[in-house]
Amino acid sequence: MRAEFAAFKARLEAHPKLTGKVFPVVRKSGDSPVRDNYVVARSAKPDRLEDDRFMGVPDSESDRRFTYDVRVVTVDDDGLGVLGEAVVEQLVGHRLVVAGRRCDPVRLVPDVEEGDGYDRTADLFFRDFSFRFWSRRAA
Amino acid sequence: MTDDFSDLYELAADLSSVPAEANKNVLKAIQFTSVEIKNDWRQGAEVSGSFASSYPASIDFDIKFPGGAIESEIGPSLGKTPGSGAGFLEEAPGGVDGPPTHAGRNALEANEEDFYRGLEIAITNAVVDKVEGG
Repeated sequence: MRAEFAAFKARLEAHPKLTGKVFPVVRKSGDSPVRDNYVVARSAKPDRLEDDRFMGVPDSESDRRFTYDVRVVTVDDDGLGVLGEAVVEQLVGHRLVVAGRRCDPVRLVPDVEEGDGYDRTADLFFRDFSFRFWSRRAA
Repeated sequence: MTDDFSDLYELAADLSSVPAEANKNVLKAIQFTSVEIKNDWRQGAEVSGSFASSYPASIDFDIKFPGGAIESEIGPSLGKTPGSGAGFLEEAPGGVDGPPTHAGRNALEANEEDFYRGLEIAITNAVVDKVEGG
């Protein structure tokens, strides 16, 4: 299951505007968030496991669905658009390549209340995205 | 409907072919799902720590009947509580280091199966009543 996230992160890093700017958590210097433009990509466990077999018991190799959160962090409002656009361009519709698996194209999960935020204390803007795909047995 | 609501972020079903007798039961099923989603959404917002404290209480639902359809609009009512208007996330306590906010989405997805099950029961009961009633 780590392979899917590794492929996801590598895909993000492959965009020229995102190279070297993908981190697993919000960057800190001491207790304070670092003021910089970057992206936080969080790994996650599968949120669905299934094999389209009625009453079947899934196992760790079953078809699995992942939903990964990506947070764009920038020092100004314009930066949200620049990095956010790069993130969406790079991921949506792309099939991740994972050994032994067949991944569906990555989709953007529509927002409900996810959106933009501004951290007044850190003076940082942020924008949340969620991306979702199925990783299936390669058969 | 796709598994991730990518077409429309709503729980929807086309009931144009079911008997009119089902309307009352369908309305009950939609009301039940609406209450469940509202409660789950509020609960998720309360525990996430990424919302203004007044946000959970602003989540409610309105049942509407546009053009013969039955529709439930669920979510925060702007202006219902202080801080529930546009921009409420700016003052969220989590800030840039807080977790992403998915209370609404999680509530919708958690109730998707029950929504369809409730409609099936509502329609089945109406059809049975119609057949037995002759």
